[in-house]
Amino acid sequence: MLIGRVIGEVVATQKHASHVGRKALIVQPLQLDGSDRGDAVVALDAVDAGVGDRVLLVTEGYSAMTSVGRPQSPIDMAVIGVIDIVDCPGFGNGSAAGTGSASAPELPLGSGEKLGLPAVAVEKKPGRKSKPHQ
Amino acid sequence: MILARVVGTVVATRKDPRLEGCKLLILQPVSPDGVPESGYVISVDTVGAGSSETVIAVSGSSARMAEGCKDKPVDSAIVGIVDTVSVNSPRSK
Amino acid sequence: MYLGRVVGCVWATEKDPRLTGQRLLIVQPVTPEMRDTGKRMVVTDATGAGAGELVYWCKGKEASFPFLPTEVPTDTTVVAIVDSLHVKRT
Repeated sequence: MLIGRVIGEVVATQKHASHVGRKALIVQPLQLDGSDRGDAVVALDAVDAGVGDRVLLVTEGYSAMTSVGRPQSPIDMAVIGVIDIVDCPGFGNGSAAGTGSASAPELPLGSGEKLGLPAVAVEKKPGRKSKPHQ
Repeated sequence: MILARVVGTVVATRKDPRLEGCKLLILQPVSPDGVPESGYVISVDTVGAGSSETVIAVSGSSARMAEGCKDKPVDSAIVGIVDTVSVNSPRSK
Repeated sequence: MYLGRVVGCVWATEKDPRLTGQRLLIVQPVTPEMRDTGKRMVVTDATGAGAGELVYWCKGKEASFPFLPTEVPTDTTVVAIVDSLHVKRT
Protein backbone atom coordinates (compact mmCIF):
# COMPACT_ATOMS: atom_id res chain seq x y z
CA MET A 1 0.00 0.00 0.00
CA LEU A 2 1.04 3.61 -0.45
CA ILE A 3 0.22 6.89 1.22
CA GLY A 4 -1.50 9.34 -1.11
CA ARG A 5 -3.40 12.59 -1.07
CA VAL A 6 -6.77 12.99 -2.76
CA ILE A 7 -6.38 15.91 -5.16
CA GLY A 8 -9.54 15.63 -7.20
CA GLU A 9 -12.37 13.65 -8.68
CA VAL A 10 -13.20 12.26 -12.11
CA VAL A 11 -16.65 12.51 -13.65
CA ALA A 12 -17.32 9.85 -16.28
CA THR A 13 -20.79 8.89 -17.50
CA GLN A 14 -19.64 6.31 -20.01
CA LYS A 15 -17.75 3.66 -18.07
CA HIS A 16 -17.65 -0.01 -17.25
CA ALA A 17 -20.68 -1.09 -15.20
CA SER A 18 -18.53 -2.08 -12.23
CA HIS A 19 -17.40 1.54 -11.76
CA VAL A 20 -20.98 2.86 -11.48
CA GLY A 21 -21.96 3.99 -8.01
CA ARG A 22 -18.41 4.55 -6.76
CA LYS A 23 -16.49 7.82 -6.67
CA ALA A 24 -13.39 7.84 -8.88
CA LEU A 25 -10.79 9.91 -7.05
CA ILE A 26 -7.56 11.36 -8.36
CA VAL A 27 -4.89 10.41 -5.82
CA GLN A 28 -1.32 11.68 -5.77
CA PRO A 29 0.98 9.07 -4.19
CA LEU A 30 3.37 10.69 -1.70
CA GLN A 31 6.90 10.10 -0.49
CA LEU A 32 7.43 9.95 3.26
CA ASP A 33 8.57 13.59 3.30
CA GLY A 34 5.30 14.70 1.70
CA SER A 35 6.65 15.30 -1.80
CA ASP A 36 5.06 13.71 -4.86
CA ARG A 37 5.93 10.13 -5.74
CA GLY A 38 5.39 9.65 -9.45
CA ASP A 39 2.23 10.69 -11.25
CA ALA A 40 -1.30 10.96 -9.89
CA VAL A 41 -3.57 7.96 -10.43
CA VAL A 42 -7.31 7.28 -10.51
CA ALA A 43 -8.62 5.06 -7.69
CA LEU A 44 -12.12 4.03 -6.72
CA ASP A 45 -13.19 5.12 -3.26
CA ALA A 46 -14.14 2.52 -0.64
CA VAL A 47 -14.16 4.75 2.46
CA ASP A 48 -15.82 8.03 1.44
CA ALA A 49 -12.60 10.06 1.35
CA GLY A 50 -12.68 13.72 0.39
CA VAL A 51 -10.40 16.05 -1.53
CA GLY A 52 -7.40 16.96 0.63
CA ASP A 53 -7.47 13.76 2.74
CA ARG A 54 -4.35 11.65 3.18
CA VAL A 55 -5.35 8.12 2.26
CA LEU A 56 -4.14 4.53 2.08
CA LEU A 57 -3.97 3.43 -1.56
CA VAL A 58 -3.91 -0.26 -2.53
CA THR A 59 -2.53 -1.11 -5.97
CA GLU A 60 -3.34 -4.79 -6.29
CA GLY A 61 -6.35 -5.87 -8.29
CA TYR A 62 -8.14 -8.38 -6.06
CA SER A 63 -7.75 -6.15 -3.01
CA ALA A 64 -9.04 -3.14 -4.90
CA MET A 65 -12.05 -4.81 -6.46
CA THR A 66 -13.19 -6.56 -3.29
CA SER A 67 -12.82 -3.43 -1.17
CA VAL A 68 -15.37 -1.67 -3.41
CA GLY A 69 -17.54 -4.78 -3.51
CA ARG A 70 -17.11 -5.54 -7.21
CA PRO A 71 -15.31 -8.89 -7.68
CA GLN A 72 -14.16 -9.85 -11.17
CA SER A 73 -14.03 -6.22 -12.31
CA PRO A 74 -11.44 -4.11 -14.13
CA ILE A 75 -10.38 -2.19 -11.02
CA ASP A 76 -6.70 -2.12 -10.10
CA MET A 77 -6.52 0.65 -7.48
CA ALA A 78 -8.68 1.68 -4.57
CA VAL A 79 -8.61 3.98 -1.56
CA ILE A 80 -9.04 1.64 1.42
CA GLY A 81 -8.41 3.95 4.39
CA VAL A 82 -8.22 7.56 5.52
CA ILE A 83 -4.98 8.15 7.41
CA ASP A 84 -5.12 9.77 10.85
CA ILE A 85 -1.46 9.62 11.88
CA VAL A 86 1.78 8.73 10.17
CA ASP A 87 4.43 8.11 12.79
CA CYS A 88 7.78 8.28 11.03
CA PRO A 89 10.79 10.61 11.32
CA GLY A 90 10.76 13.26 8.60
CA PHE A 91 7.03 13.16 7.78
CA GLY A 92 4.36 15.71 8.78
CA ASN A 93 2.91 13.95 11.86
CA GLY A 94 -0.40 14.26 13.52
CA SER A 95 -2.65 16.30 11.30
CA ALA A 96 -4.98 14.31 9.11
CA ALA A 97 -5.81 17.44 7.19
CA GLY A 98 -2.20 18.65 6.93
CA THR A 99 -0.62 19.46 3.64
CA GLY A 100 2.37 17.25 4.42
CA SER A 101 4.80 20.13 3.95
CA ALA A 102 4.33 21.80 7.33
CA SER A 103 7.78 20.98 8.71
CA ALA A 104 11.11 20.47 7.00
CA PRO A 105 12.18 16.84 7.40
CA GLU A 106 15.34 16.23 9.41
CA LEU A 107 16.18 13.02 7.60
CA PRO A 108 14.54 12.94 4.17
CA LEU A 109 14.10 9.31 3.27
CA GLY A 110 14.92 8.29 -0.24
CA SER A 111 17.96 10.54 -0.44
CA GLY A 112 20.30 7.56 -0.07
CA GLU A 113 21.60 8.73 3.31
CA LYS A 114 22.11 6.11 6.00
CA LEU A 115 19.66 6.51 8.82
CA GLY A 116 22.15 5.64 11.55
CA LEU A 117 20.01 2.70 12.67
CA PRO A 118 21.70 -0.44 14.05
CA ALA A 119 23.12 -2.39 11.12
CA VAL A 120 21.91 -5.88 10.29
CA ALA A 121 24.79 -8.33 10.85
CA VAL A 122 26.24 -9.06 7.42
CA GLU A 123 28.62 -11.98 6.97
CA LYS A 124 30.90 -11.70 3.98
CA LYS A 125 32.08 -15.10 2.78
CA PRO A 126 35.30 -15.28 0.78
CA GLY A 127 34.89 -16.45 -2.83
CA ARG A 128 35.41 -20.19 -3.32
CA LYS A 129 37.79 -21.60 -5.90
CA SER A 130 35.99 -23.74 -8.43
CA LYS A 131 36.70 -27.47 -8.18
CA PRO A 132 37.81 -29.17 -11.41
CA HIS A 133 35.22 -31.53 -12.90
CA GLN A 134 36.15 -35.20 -12.65
CA MET B 1 10.35 -10.21 -1.91
CA ILE B 2 12.37 -7.33 -0.50
CA LEU B 3 14.52 -6.67 2.51
CA ALA B 4 13.28 -3.62 4.37
CA ARG B 5 13.57 -1.80 7.65
CA VAL B 6 10.58 -0.78 9.76
CA VAL B 7 10.70 3.02 9.98
CA GLY B 8 7.24 3.96 11.19
CA THR B 9 3.58 3.15 11.59
CA VAL B 10 0.32 4.36 10.06
CA VAL B 11 -2.92 4.84 11.98
CA ALA B 12 -6.18 4.94 10.03
CA THR B 13 -9.52 4.79 11.84
CA ARG B 14 -11.69 4.92 8.74
CA LYS B 15 -10.68 1.98 6.62
CA ASP B 16 -11.90 -1.20 4.98
CA PRO B 17 -13.47 -3.32 7.78
CA ARG B 18 -11.27 -6.27 6.85
CA LEU B 19 -8.24 -4.26 7.97
CA GLU B 20 -9.52 -3.90 11.56
CA GLY B 21 -6.86 -5.06 13.99
CA CYS B 22 -4.08 -5.01 11.39
CA LYS B 23 -0.81 -3.31 12.20
CA LEU B 24 0.23 -1.09 9.27
CA LEU B 25 3.98 -0.48 9.23
CA ILE B 26 6.06 1.80 7.03
CA LEU B 27 8.98 -0.08 5.48
CA GLN B 28 12.01 1.38 3.76
CA PRO B 29 13.72 -1.06 1.36
CA VAL B 30 17.36 -1.84 2.14
CA SER B 31 20.01 -3.54 0.04
CA PRO B 32 21.50 -6.85 1.26
CA ASP B 33 24.42 -4.76 2.58
CA GLY B 34 22.08 -2.80 4.85
CA VAL B 35 22.11 0.44 2.84
CA PRO B 36 18.69 2.14 2.71
CA GLU B 37 17.21 2.46 -0.77
CA SER B 38 14.77 5.03 -2.02
CA GLY B 39 11.01 4.66 -1.75
CA TYR B 40 8.84 3.05 0.90
CA VAL B 41 5.88 0.72 1.21
CA ILE B 42 3.11 0.35 3.76
CA SER B 43 2.80 -3.30 4.80
CA VAL B 44 0.57 -5.37 7.01
CA ASP B 45 2.53 -7.03 9.82
CA THR B 46 1.91 -10.76 10.20
CA VAL B 47 4.95 -11.68 12.36
CA GLY B 48 5.10 -9.09 15.15
CA ALA B 49 7.88 -6.90 13.76
CA GLY B 50 9.06 -3.92 15.81
CA SER B 51 10.51 -0.52 14.99
CA SER B 52 13.98 -0.52 13.34
CA GLU B 53 13.89 -4.27 12.68
CA THR B 54 14.91 -5.58 9.27
CA VAL B 55 12.20 -7.70 7.72
CA ILE B 56 11.24 -9.58 4.59
CA ALA B 57 8.16 -8.22 2.80
CA VAL B 58 6.18 -9.79 -0.04
CA SER B 59 4.15 -7.69 -2.44
CA GLY B 60 1.46 -8.06 -5.08
CA SER B 61 -1.29 -10.65 -4.96
CA SER B 62 1.10 -13.01 -3.13
CA ALA B 63 0.72 -10.79 -0.07
CA ARG B 64 -2.71 -12.29 0.39
CA MET B 65 -1.05 -15.67 0.97
CA ALA B 66 0.55 -14.37 4.18
CA GLU B 67 -0.81 -15.59 7.51
CA GLY B 68 -4.28 -14.19 8.10
CA CYS B 69 -4.30 -12.12 4.90
CA LYS B 70 -6.37 -14.37 2.66
CA ASP B 71 -9.36 -12.09 2.31
CA LYS B 72 -7.75 -8.82 3.27
CA PRO B 73 -7.31 -5.98 0.75
CA VAL B 74 -3.54 -5.86 1.00
CA ASP B 75 -0.78 -5.70 -1.56
CA SER B 76 2.20 -5.93 0.79
CA ALA B 77 2.81 -8.08 3.90
CA ILE B 78 5.73 -8.70 6.25
CA VAL B 79 6.48 -12.42 6.30
CA GLY B 80 9.72 -12.66 8.24
CA ILE B 81 12.09 -10.89 10.62
CA VAL B 82 15.73 -11.05 9.51
CA ASP B 83 18.42 -12.37 11.88
CA THR B 84 21.44 -12.18 9.58
CA VAL B 85 22.12 -11.57 5.91
CA SER B 86 25.01 -13.47 4.40
CA VAL B 87 26.53 -11.95 1.25
CA ASN B 88 29.20 -13.73 -0.82
CA SER B 89 32.00 -11.38 -1.83
CA PRO B 90 33.06 -11.54 -5.50
CA ARG B 91 35.27 -14.50 -6.43
CA SER B 92 38.94 -13.50 -6.56
CA LYS B 93 40.70 -14.19 -9.91
CA MET C 1 -6.28 3.26 -12.96
CA TYR C 2 -4.39 5.84 -14.98
CA LEU C 3 -5.47 8.82 -17.06
CA GLY C 4 -4.73 8.85 -20.76
CA ARG C 5 -5.64 10.37 -24.09
CA VAL C 6 -6.58 8.26 -27.11
CA VAL C 7 -4.16 9.19 -29.88
CA GLY C 8 -4.68 6.45 -32.46
CA CYS C 9 -5.59 2.88 -33.16
CA VAL C 10 -3.98 -0.33 -34.36
CA TRP C 11 -5.15 -2.76 -36.99
CA ALA C 12 -3.79 -6.32 -36.92
CA THR C 13 -5.00 -9.19 -39.07
CA GLU C 14 -2.65 -11.82 -37.67
CA LYS C 15 -3.27 -12.01 -33.93
CA ASP C 16 -4.42 -14.20 -31.11
CA PRO C 17 -7.94 -15.40 -32.07
CA ARG C 18 -9.35 -14.10 -28.76
CA LEU C 19 -8.42 -10.57 -29.85
CA THR C 20 -10.69 -10.81 -32.89
CA GLY C 21 -13.29 -8.08 -32.75
CA GLN C 22 -11.40 -6.14 -30.07
CA ARG C 23 -10.67 -2.48 -30.75
CA LEU C 24 -6.99 -1.77 -30.15
CA LEU C 25 -6.31 1.86 -29.25
CA ILE C 26 -3.09 3.78 -28.76
CA VAL C 27 -3.24 5.74 -25.52
CA GLN C 28 -0.81 8.39 -24.27
CA PRO C 29 -0.74 8.43 -20.45
CA VAL C 30 -1.23 11.93 -19.05
CA THR C 31 -1.13 13.64 -15.68
CA PRO C 32 -4.26 15.38 -14.31
CA GLU C 33 -2.69 18.60 -15.63
CA MET C 34 -2.78 17.05 -19.13
CA ARG C 35 0.97 16.70 -19.48
CA ASP C 36 2.22 13.65 -21.35
CA THR C 37 3.89 11.17 -19.03
CA GLY C 38 5.41 7.88 -20.05
CA LYS C 39 5.26 5.95 -23.30
CA ARG C 40 2.25 5.46 -25.52
CA MET C 41 0.79 1.98 -25.33
CA VAL C 42 -1.67 -0.26 -27.11
CA VAL C 43 -4.77 -0.99 -25.06
CA THR C 44 -8.03 -2.85 -25.58
CA ASP C 45 -11.25 -0.91 -25.22
CA ALA C 46 -14.35 -1.63 -23.14
CA THR C 47 -16.08 1.72 -23.69
CA GLY C 48 -16.15 2.73 -27.37
CA ALA C 49 -13.72 5.63 -26.87
CA GLY C 50 -12.74 7.71 -29.91
CA ALA C 51 -9.60 9.55 -30.97
CA GLY C 52 -8.75 12.59 -28.84
CA GLU C 53 -10.91 11.56 -25.87
CA LEU C 54 -9.65 11.62 -22.31
CA VAL C 55 -10.03 8.20 -20.71
CA TYR C 56 -8.85 6.16 -17.78
CA TRP C 57 -7.51 2.65 -18.13
CA CYS C 58 -6.52 -0.22 -15.86
CA LYS C 59 -3.56 -2.57 -15.89
CA GLY C 60 -2.93 -6.20 -15.06
CA LYS C 61 -5.13 -9.27 -15.09
CA GLU C 62 -8.11 -7.09 -14.23
CA ALA C 63 -7.88 -5.61 -17.73
CA SER C 64 -9.24 -8.85 -19.18
CA PHE C 65 -12.34 -8.93 -16.94
CA PRO C 66 -14.66 -6.70 -19.04
CA PHE C 67 -14.56 -9.32 -21.80
CA LEU C 68 -15.36 -12.41 -19.72
CA PRO C 69 -16.20 -15.22 -20.37
CA THR C 70 -13.80 -14.82 -23.29
CA GLU C 71 -10.30 -14.76 -21.84
CA VAL C 72 -8.83 -11.93 -23.88
CA PRO C 73 -5.02 -11.77 -23.59
CA THR C 74 -4.73 -8.12 -22.61
CA ASP C 75 -3.00 -6.33 -19.75
CA THR C 76 -4.37 -2.81 -20.36
CA THR C 77 -7.97 -1.81 -21.07
CA VAL C 78 -9.78 1.52 -21.28
CA VAL C 79 -12.60 1.33 -18.72
CA ALA C 80 -14.10 4.83 -18.75
CA ILE C 81 -14.39 7.97 -20.87
CA VAL C 82 -13.78 11.06 -18.73
CA ASP C 83 -16.31 13.90 -18.98
CA SER C 84 -14.49 16.25 -16.60
CA LEU C 85 -11.81 16.39 -13.92
CA HIS C 86 -11.78 18.53 -10.81
CA VAL C 87 -8.25 18.87 -9.51
CA LYS C 88 -7.09 20.89 -6.53
CA ARG C 89 -3.48 20.55 -5.54
CA THR C 90 -2.68 22.33 -2.25
